[in-house]
Formats: sequence, C-alpha cells, structure tokens
Amino acid sequence: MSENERLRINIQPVLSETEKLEIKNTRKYMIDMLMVLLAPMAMSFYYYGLRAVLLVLYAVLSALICEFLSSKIYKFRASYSDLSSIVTAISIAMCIPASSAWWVPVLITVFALAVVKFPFGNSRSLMFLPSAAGIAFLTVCNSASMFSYPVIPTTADKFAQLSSSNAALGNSIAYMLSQGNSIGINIISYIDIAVGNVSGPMGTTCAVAIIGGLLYLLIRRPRTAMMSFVYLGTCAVYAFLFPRITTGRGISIIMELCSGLTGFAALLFVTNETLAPKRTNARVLYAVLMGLITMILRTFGSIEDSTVFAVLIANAFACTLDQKLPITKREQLLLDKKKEAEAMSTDKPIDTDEQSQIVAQKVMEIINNSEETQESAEDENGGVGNE
Amino acid sequence: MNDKTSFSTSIKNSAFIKNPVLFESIGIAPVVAMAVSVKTAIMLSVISAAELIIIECFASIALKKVKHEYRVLIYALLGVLINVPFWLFFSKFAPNETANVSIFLPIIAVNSLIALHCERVAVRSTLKETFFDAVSATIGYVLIIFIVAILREILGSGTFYSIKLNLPVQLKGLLLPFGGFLMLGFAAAFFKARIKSRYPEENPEEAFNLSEISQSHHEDIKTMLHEDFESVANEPIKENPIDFFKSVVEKPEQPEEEKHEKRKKIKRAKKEKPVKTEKRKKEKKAVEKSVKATPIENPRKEKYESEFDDILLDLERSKAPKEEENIDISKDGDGNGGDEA
Amino acid sequence: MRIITELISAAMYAMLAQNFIFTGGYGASEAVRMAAKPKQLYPMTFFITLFSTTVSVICVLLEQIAAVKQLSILGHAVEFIIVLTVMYIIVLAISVLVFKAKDRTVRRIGIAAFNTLVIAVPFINYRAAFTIAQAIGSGIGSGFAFVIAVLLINVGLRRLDRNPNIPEAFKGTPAIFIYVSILSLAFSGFYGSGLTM
Repeated sequence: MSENERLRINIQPVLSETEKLEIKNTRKYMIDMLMVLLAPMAMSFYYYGLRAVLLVLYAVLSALICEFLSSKIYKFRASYSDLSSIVTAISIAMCIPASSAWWVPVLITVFALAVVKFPFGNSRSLMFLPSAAGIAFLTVCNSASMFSYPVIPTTADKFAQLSSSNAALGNSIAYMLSQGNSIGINIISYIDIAVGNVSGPMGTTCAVAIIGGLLYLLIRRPRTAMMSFVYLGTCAVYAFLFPRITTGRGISIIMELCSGLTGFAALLFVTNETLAPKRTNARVLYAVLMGLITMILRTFGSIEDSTVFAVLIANAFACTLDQKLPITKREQLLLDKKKEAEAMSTDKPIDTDEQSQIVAQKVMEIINNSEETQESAEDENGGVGNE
Repeated sequence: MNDKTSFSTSIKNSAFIKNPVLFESIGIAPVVAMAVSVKTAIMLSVISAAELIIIECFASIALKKVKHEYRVLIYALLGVLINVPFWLFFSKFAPNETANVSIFLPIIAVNSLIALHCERVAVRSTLKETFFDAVSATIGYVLIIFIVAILREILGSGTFYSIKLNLPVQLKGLLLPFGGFLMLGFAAAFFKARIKSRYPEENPEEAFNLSEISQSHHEDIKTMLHEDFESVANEPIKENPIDFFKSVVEKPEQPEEEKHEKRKKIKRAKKEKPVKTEKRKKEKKAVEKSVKATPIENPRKEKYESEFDDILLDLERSKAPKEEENIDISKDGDGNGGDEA
Repeated sequence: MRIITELISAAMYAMLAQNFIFTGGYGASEAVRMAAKPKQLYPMTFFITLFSTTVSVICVLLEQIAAVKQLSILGHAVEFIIVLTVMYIIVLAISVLVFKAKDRTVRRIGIAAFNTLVIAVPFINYRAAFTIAQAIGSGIGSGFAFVIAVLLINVGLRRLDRNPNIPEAFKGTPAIFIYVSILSLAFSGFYGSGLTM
C-alpha cells in the first residue's frame, strides 16, 4: 500500500508509543473486568449449562467478526488485543435470558459495536456504554425477547429444555416488583436470591457472585469500586424511602438491589473508566445520578427493567460533571502541589537583561497602541484627533 | 457556463455535497418522524417538493424587498396553502395513510428547509438560479426521505410498500425517531465516504461548521436582555426601504468598559511614584480632573485623548525632568486636556 | 391544587417522559443547529416556550367553541397556523416597539415561532384533549425539553470535537446523528416507545 493510500484511508502505519501504552492500560482494565465477570459466568454455566456457553460464544464470535468487518468498512485500526470487544460481548450475554434465540446476542453485540462503539473510535473514546445501548435497542425493538426469562431447568438435559419453543417461563423479581406484588420471603427465599436460583438474566441473579465481583474491584480499583457502592447505596435509599411493595422497607431494599440488572450495572456499567468522570466528587455525583434515574424509571416507566436507559442518560451527563463542579480544597491542594513540582523542575531565575527586555517590549506596545488609536481617530474624524 | 452544466453543478452541490438533511442538518423533523414507509415517503416527498419549489420561486420574484420578519410569516402561510390541496388529494386516494400521518403534514409547512433556502438563495438570486437550487435541494431531500423510509419499512415493519417480505426479524424500534436519526447518521457517513472518494477536494463537513462550538454560555438573564433589547448608540441606524418600525435612538449611557477604563487610570495615577515637588502634585491633579470631569460626546475620541495626554505627560517627564519645575501648571496639561465642553 | 398538579405533570411529561425532540423528532433541526451555537440558547428557548404556551392555550380555548371543535384535522391545522401567525405578529410588535429589539433578536423570534416543535405542541394537546392547565404545562415543558435537548447535544458536540479517534467517514454530522439517535433511545426508556399521538 503506498503512503498516499495509507494517508487517504487514515490508518497510521505503526502504533505510536502513546497508543501502545493506551492499549496496554486498556487491556489491564479489561482483564480486571473479565475477572469480575468470571463468577457470574460460572453461575450461568452452572444453572443453564451448554446453552449459556453457546450464547456467550455466539456473542464473542460476533464481536470479533464485527470488529474485523467494521475496521475494513469504517477504515480504522482494529485493536483485538485490548480485549474490550470481548468484555462487551460477555457482559451482553450475561444480561439476556438463557432461552434467547441465537440471533439475540448476535444482534445486540453487532449493534453495540458497529453502531455505538466503532463510529466514535475505540474503547478509549466511547460516548455511550455499548452493552447498555445494545440491550436498550433490543428492549425497544422486541421487549418480549429481552424479558422472557425461563425457569431454571431442573432436568439433566438443560439444553433441550431451554431450546424448546415451549420453554417454561418464570417471573423475575423485577417483573414482580413492576406489578406491585407483595413479594417476600414466603415467595422467594434469601438463599435463592443469594445463590441466584431465581428467573432472570443469565448472569445477574446470583447475589454472591455480584458481591464477589465488587470485592475484587474494591481490592484492585478502589476508586472505581466507590462508584459501585454509591450507586447501590442510592438505589437502596430510594427503595427504602419509596418501596414498591408492602412487605417492608428492608425487603424492598433487598428485592430492588437483587432484581434485574441493578447489581450487574453496579459491577460493570457504572464502573466504565472511559465514561465515568475523573474527579472523585464528580464520580460520586455520577453514580448517584445513575442510581436515581434507574429507580425513577423503574417506578414511573412502563418497562420492566430500565436500568440500561438510566445508564445511557447518565453517560450523556458524565462529561459535564467534571467541568461544572467546583474545585474542592483537597483538589486545589493537589493542583498546587503539581504546579510546584512542575515549576521546580523547570524553574530558572529571570535574567536582569531579560527583565529589561520585557519592560522595553511593553513600552513599545503602549507607544504602538497609542499610534494606532491616533490613526484610527484621525480616520474617523477626518482630521487630527485633538481638534 | 450553459444551463445544463450549471444545473448539474447545482445538483452536485445542493443535493449531495451540501445535502440539506445530511450535512446541513435542516428539515430533519419530517424525515425522522414521518418517513417510516414508502407510502408516507411519497406523500412527504410530493408535498415538500411542491412547497420548496413554489415558495422559493415566489420568494425570488416577490419577496426580495420585504423585511425578513415578514418573509418567514409568508413562507409559513404559503406552506399551509400549498399543503391543503395535497392533503385533500391524499385523503381521497390514500385515506388510511393520510389518517396515520395527519399531524405531520402541516408540520411540513414550517419546515426549516424552506425558510433557510429561501433566505439563503431565493431572495438573493435570480429566478433561474433559485429554480435550480430549489430543484437540487428537492432532489437531495427526496433521495434521503426514500432511503430512510425504505430501510425503516423493511427492517422495522418487514414490508415494502405494504407487501410482506417474511423476514425472520422485525426491529420495530427503527420505526421510532431513534431509528430515523440512526439511518440519517449512517446515510451521512456513506455519502461522505462516497463524496471524499469521488471529489477529494470537496468537504461536506463545511456545510455544518463544528468549529463554532463554544463553551455553554451561562449568562445571567439581565445581561442577555441588555444585549438583545437595548440599542447601542455607537451602532449606525439601519435605514430600510420598507421601514415599518423605526428604532428610537436614546441618549447613550456611558458603557461599562469606559467607566472601568477611567477607574483604572485613576488608580494608576494614584500608584505612580510620589510626586517630589508640589508642582508635580498639582500637575497630576489636573490630569486626574480632566479624566474625571469630561462629558462624553464621542466616547472613543475621549478615551483616545485622555490616553494620549497620559502618554505625553510621561514622555515629557522622562525626557526633561529638570524642566518640569518650570512648567506652568495653570494650563491644562499641554493645552490638550479633556476640556471638551 | 389539582390545576397545579395537572400543569406540572403535563410539563414533566413534555420534558422527560415524552421529550418532543428526542421521542418525537420535533424541532430536531433547530436543536442540532442551536447546539453548535449555544449562546443563542436562552433567547431562543424563551421565545419557543412563549409561543408554544400561548398558542396551545389559545387553541385549547378556541376548542370550546362548537364550530371549531367540529373542524376536521385539516381545519385544525389551518387554525393552529393562523393562531401562531397572529401571536408572532403580536410578539414581534411588542419586541420592536416596546423593548427596542435588535435585528438579530427579531430574526430569532421568527425562527422560534415557525418551527416544527411549536406547531406540534397544539396538535399534541388537541389529540390528547388537554385541559387549559395541561396545555400551559405542555407549552412550558416543550421549552424546557428544547433546553435539555440542546444542552445534551452541545455536550456531545464538544466531546465529538475533541475526539481524535472518530473514523474519517463519521466525522461531523454522521457522528452527531448517531449520538442524537442514542440519546433518543435513552429517552424512549421513559415510555418504552416513541411519542404517542
């Protein structure tokens, strides 16, 4: 390929050092996300067997093929090594019902990557969370395929039971909350909620797996985990103040936090480093905003679980939070320290000659400005300005 | 340049390189809200084409000397007048489709595409150029309407011109405005790629200049109203041939900038080296007085003169420090003080 | 109290649940173009709110007349445009004669009056059979919906402008439209569908 052609299609011949570093950092982050996803994946494979494995595989393969084709059509450099597309695919697979047809994870993944991610660049220049947007897309297009959760198969042939068009459907906790059913431990036991023995999205029902993921994040990335806890805290406070069920506020908190995609959103959606604000107070506000919108949409919206829509709306506001919030004392101290450190490294005493040069320059500027003003005044008045 | 070449150039520019919907972002609402099937696309295209061509030509012939604020009114009224016969026609021959899109038809009357093209081209050009522009813009607009409508009907409804296609998947979400915006985005990307490959020197991005983006402007309402509603005396009064409403010229208030400048000068004068002799003190007071007590007739002239006085004073002091004691300070500076009264 | 509740709920509905710009597409051109010039936002929003509120209230009041109520949808369309025209002339006259509006403000009044968002509001009120309080709320809500839309799109435009990784074909309006489409998708989460007419 000639240099001109390469320039025309805007692909750099070699990755710069900065780009390599960015990809390396992204890969590190994505490996952490994969570790976080391990427990939900394991539980989904345990409950739904081969079907869950296949759905994850369909999603991952379609992600890789989509990235390859998009890089050719949109003309950008594909970066398989940063693992971002794989993480997106797996997180999508964890959010869909186990009885979904093969085209469901494929369609959501293709939309998430080809429409939401690649037109804006790569995983380091996201505008919205691709997995959330993909799930939102299918919810709007065909909500039945998103919210038809099968009962957890009890027979040995789980694959056959789930693949059948007459697979028995169960009621998820989110559905029961949206109907205002007075659910409590007489309907769903805490053990079932803890181990994920309830109908729902494939990888989001097991509370223990979600808590394990949060603990991992807390150890590896405490600043990121902070957002998760703030998000869950906001949802809990809202559930306490405005319960949708009548069996008690405590049960309301547990049910709301364990229903739908709430826990999973705390683990993966709110913690996306590209989209989250950079400053600590902005991060807190971002998580609060996301939690609040989630609960408001659940209470007043018509969709069973509108967590993904709340994520998208919060993504739209994230950028402004960094800029608009006032600087705290701690941040000011850090900034001052940083400036001092920079000044120390480049500081040199100003020369007296240099000083006098600066003064002379300023005097000349004053004289020039006065000459210009004189000329313009003469032009306007058609004569000498003083008369 | 003959008519054929100029027409083809006009089509190339208006329909493709500066496509009104894709690259100028005008006339989006009817496309996004209404173009969900081939039938509605036909209705939308016919009405938009008729409105754009007729109104642009009329504007070119009759509205050049009318003030802008009355022209927009006439465009809307004409739009409705043209809409009515088409609406009646479609109600007779396609009643179901017309009932489905009942709200959107009058919305086409206030389509920004018409107003923008009339203001940009029709009232500034000859009838021939206007006609070419109207036809070119129509071609560009209709093309996008059909592309979006066909894709949305096939993918969203699984039909084409109400004929079922038996597709395995129907994405009803694409029938929502979200689908319309999405189709426009990809259509724009496709068109841009084609234009860049075929006409590398052309830049469709220029049609919608993103460099004008600035930080969100949080002015207080008072400042906003001041800027929008108070007349500024230094601006020349515009005289229009048809001048129904004349703006009244009020006595100008001293602008804030001038006051600020004066305050700065006074402070600067105070901060100067302490005057050694009494004469120097008196001299300084005289300059300060002239700066303060000047009635403003021509603010710009006054500003220049007071600055010039200060500079002259400083220059003279620096040139001949010994002679300063002999200066007759009963005069106003150098006789060029601010006594403009 | 009931009137205030109706007003507020209609305003919130127009602003969030069925944001006219994102879930209906009305005023999308103006919102996108205004987002690139946010300094004009506040005057434009003021005038859009003024026109949408006054026109919807007048149209709801006219609906009480039997002859007007019996008009077909075409008749109603003509009625709304005429009311809007009259309101535009009144606002223009007041702005120029009383407030000494400058030329650019007069242009803004024209753009604010004759756009798809303002003309859609009385239609929506008519189809939903809103009361006067709800019509006022709907008009005010549409103004705020416009502000929300423009600010969100402006934030997106700034991010897109600073993003060096966008593929060449998507730079400019393609990326903007895709961004707006996902915002529209996000707002459809309130209702699960598009604007109900």
